[in-house]
Amino acid sequence: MPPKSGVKAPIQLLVEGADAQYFFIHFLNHMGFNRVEIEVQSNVEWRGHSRVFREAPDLIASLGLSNSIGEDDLLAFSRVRSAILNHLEPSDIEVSDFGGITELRGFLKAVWNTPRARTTIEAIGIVRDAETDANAAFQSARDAIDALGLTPPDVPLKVVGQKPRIGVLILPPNKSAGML
Amino acid sequence: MITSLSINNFRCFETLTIDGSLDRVNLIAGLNSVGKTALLEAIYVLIGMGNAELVLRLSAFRGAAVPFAGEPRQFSEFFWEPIFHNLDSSQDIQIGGVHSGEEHIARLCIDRALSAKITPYNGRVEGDNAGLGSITVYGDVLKLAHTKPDGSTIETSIMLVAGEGGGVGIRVTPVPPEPAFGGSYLATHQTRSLAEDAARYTRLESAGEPSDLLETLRMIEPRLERLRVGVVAGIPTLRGDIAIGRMIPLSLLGDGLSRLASILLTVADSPGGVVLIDEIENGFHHSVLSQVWAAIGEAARRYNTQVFATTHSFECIEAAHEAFREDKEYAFRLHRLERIAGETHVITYDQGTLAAAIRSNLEVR
Repeated sequence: MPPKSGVKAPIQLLVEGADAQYFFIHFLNHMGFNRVEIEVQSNVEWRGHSRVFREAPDLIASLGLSNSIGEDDLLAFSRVRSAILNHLEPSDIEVSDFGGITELRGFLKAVWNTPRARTTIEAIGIVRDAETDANAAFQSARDAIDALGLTPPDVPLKVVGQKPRIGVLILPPNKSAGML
Repeated sequence: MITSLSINNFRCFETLTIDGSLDRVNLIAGLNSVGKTALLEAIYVLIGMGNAELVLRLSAFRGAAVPFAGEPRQFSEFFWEPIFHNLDSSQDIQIGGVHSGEEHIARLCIDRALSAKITPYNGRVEGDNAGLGSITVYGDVLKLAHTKPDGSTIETSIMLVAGEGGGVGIRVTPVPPEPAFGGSYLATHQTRSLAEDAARYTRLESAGEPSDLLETLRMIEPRLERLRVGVVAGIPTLRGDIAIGRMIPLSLLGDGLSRLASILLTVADSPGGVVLIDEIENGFHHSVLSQVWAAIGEAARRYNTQVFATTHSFECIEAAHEAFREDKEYAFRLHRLERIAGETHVITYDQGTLAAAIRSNLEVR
């Protein structure tokens, strides 16, 4: 049995499924996180979310990937995601896959209940797919936050609270039915 | 069943509140010295319904020597001061709880009206109040006042006294009434009472109750064929037959077996009451923990007994979750005590949260 994990980083980003993990960069950009530190293989140090996104094309190029990554290019997404995650300072951000959409509520509460979480965690971001109803997807995330006794944001991509700061990103589906 | 608790100025708790999240079976986790045992002790004092002697027993539960072997003037320092937060007995202790929908409040304080008279006599005084007569009182007097739901109060005091003949002992005055419901504390450091287990078994057997105890104990000792109470060295003792020609005291058949018997007999013998178990996993192999919890859960349900237990073991927590998951009502909660910004908080896991934490390998202890 692997050792139990506690809170590793002050920023907790919970994403639905492995493919969504890539999008945390976009999410962080809107959330205004300022403690993210990224190093890439070229030894360029990336500090601050705005620079990360401004320089994202260079980052992609430095990793030897195509500059024209599309939503269908999941392999490329996965490589970018892995490369970035591999170079994140583990003390800064922890990205966790909470599994399926029905498991968000229990997983989020379990993370919030983890020893020292309430004194350590500075920010929580939730990323999930819109599925067929973006509003319902956002509401489910709000309900999960509310169950912690915390105040959820009233719209996606809005950061609320102080410690922890909280934001929700609903990823649009490929089809327009759930597009925000 | 106790549904909520509030504790002030007791042991390590300046304040602690558990509001509405208690269940029939409650497992308490948390770091060393965070207050798991102190929480059990606070509940023990509360359910004692005004019996100040229970405070003295707390020291024995923690392994402290009783009878006291120090100087009489050290009695208060040894027994009373440690129950006050930061050893500060100038602030009264208050333990409140809602049991069966009714509020009970226990207040503990040093009886300064009597204690103050001790000082001029170098730790001795001729007591002249509280019905003490002409006995000599050593050190401070601890007073417990229990306010019942009807507003009436039961008040008892405990003190170290010397009789006219010179003998020294403990006096509780007045004699406390029987508590309204059963309650027991199964401590880690205290040797279990063979006579208590035997008495409980006899009471339950007389009532035709312990029919499945033997079957439950067989999961630990499959050779066990029957249970009987007999007298061993003058002490009533619960013994087991493992087909070797003689009955053997359960305590000699292994710690797990005798501990499980003690727990189940205590739960069954406390109908409508509360059983407190410190470090419940002690003595049990991890492979039987789930069955142990299932047996405790079934006994607690059958006798309407509430259980509070502490643990440091993740295997114990996981086993409890597995056992109660099979129970349609999942009458179980995990509570972790954690200090946040200098205050102790209770973080409670319901079924869904604990399931998610176990599935995701997240720390819960």
